[in-house]
Amino acid sequence: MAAKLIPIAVVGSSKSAPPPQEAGSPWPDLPPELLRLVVLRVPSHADRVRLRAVCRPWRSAASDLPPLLPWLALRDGTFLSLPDGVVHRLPAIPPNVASRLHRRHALPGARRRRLLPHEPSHRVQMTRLSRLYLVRYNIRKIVVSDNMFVVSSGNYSRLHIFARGPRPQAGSIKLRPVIADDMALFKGKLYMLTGWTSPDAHCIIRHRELHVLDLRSGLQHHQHQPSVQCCIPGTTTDCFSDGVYKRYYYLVVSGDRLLMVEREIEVDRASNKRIRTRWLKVFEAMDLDSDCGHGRWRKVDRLKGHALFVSLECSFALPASVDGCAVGVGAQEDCVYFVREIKLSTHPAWEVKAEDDHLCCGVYNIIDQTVAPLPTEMLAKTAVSHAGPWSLTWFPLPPN
Amino acid sequence: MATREAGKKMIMLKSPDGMEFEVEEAVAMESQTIRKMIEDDCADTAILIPNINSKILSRVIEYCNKHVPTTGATGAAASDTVAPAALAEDLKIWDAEFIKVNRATRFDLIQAASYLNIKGLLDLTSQTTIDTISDNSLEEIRSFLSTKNDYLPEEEQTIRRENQWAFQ
Repeated sequence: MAAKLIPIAVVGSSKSAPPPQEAGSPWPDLPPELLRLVVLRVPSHADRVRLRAVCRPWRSAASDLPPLLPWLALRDGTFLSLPDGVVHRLPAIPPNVASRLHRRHALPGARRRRLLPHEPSHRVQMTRLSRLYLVRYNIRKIVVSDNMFVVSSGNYSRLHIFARGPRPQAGSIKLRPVIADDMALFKGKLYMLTGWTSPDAHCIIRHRELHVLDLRSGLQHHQHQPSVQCCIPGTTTDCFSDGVYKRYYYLVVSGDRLLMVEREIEVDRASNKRIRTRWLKVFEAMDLDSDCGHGRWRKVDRLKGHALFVSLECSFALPASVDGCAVGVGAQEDCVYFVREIKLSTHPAWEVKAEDDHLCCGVYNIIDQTVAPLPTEMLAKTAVSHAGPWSLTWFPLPPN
Repeated sequence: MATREAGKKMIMLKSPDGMEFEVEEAVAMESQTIRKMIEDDCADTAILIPNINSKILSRVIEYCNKHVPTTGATGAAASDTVAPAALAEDLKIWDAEFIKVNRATRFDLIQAASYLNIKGLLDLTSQTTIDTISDNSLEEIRSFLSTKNDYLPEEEQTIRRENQWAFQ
């Protein structure tokens, strides 16, 4: 079938006798190492996918490449590729799985598309998911590891935990009164970041509490009374921040470290409008293996060759692009890429407009402590035409 | 090629087809490979550049000549009079003109840039190739590259189905 489509000029592989060099003449076969040099500089995931489809030598040259910048899921469910600014539409879920899910579980259409991003091998997992009857909830976040699958519903009030593998198990935990900001699977345990309510209402919360649920021994022990334990206690400070602010907290696994990202956004006192991201700080969870409750946060000033991508629905770390790579390919080291967290429909009185989206997303360099815009001009141009009910979210690309 | 100026160390580059090019050391050192040879004292007065014919080598030298930083004793005055932004813009235009070559030459330039380790030239040649490739259909890419499609029809179908969005 392919042969019919493609006009091919087959070129001999002899490199000692190059073909005549007039314009339009065919290229000699590119040696794989040179092919790779070119492919390394391709900044777009779509181009990488197409190049891999050209032929087998190209496929191997375009394999195991350093990761590119992830896509940004836009408010209407499309995806913005960075830095080239192309908007992609993905089929939400393979049609057979989607229709089955949709029929059997009354899966809210608005959420269908968002289930996919967090699933590495979505085909298998979505099928398993459909058996487990889990998608009728209002899903806030899904985290996946090799053997575990955790879905939080509502405002993190309930967790649904699914063990993957040959014999899937399921369990559910009610979290109240603990309300989590974020959660992450790390070394077989589920960690939850929570706000800490001081008995003294005048205290300012300085650090979040970290709670842990050990899932390594499977779910059977947890089904009735799973115990969530505090492993890093919250602390308070007397130091008041000047002005009004809103803070977001994210949990990110980066290599062998569990990181918390704290982000402060300046809020206009009169209009209550969020103005700009003032700073981000990164902390590493330390001493998690010691007795429960004796862990601590340590401020981090380097990301050890990584960049962080934070959004409430999905946060992750990626290896940063190494020296020698073309500028603009891959993530910048020691930078945190953040997005505007507010939904368009949530606060009509605050005049949350899609055209401001690009102003509220950015890249924070934790060494220079500077904010730069996202490396694409297209968000400013596409935000309005791609307005929709969802929040902006980072979308990890599949590995090559 | 380069003319001898007072106080500037010159290096002789030889191509395998017997041509010799006399260039300033600073220009030759745009190539990290040559820089290393010079720094390691492996370079006498002449360096043989294998695998790169005189036609391509002269183009590479032309590129290095244009891109060598003008920070030397005489160069400083030149860069004072031109704003860095304008200089960069000028270089960009020059690069665009420089790379208007046929694909075979461009491929030779990639190979030369890779061997001589000249990052700027490698970026330029690769980017031009990528620009040719992106936004084209698979069939167009194959015909551009004159690459033989060695996938089985079923394999190609699977690839297309799994990444349908990229082939629309």
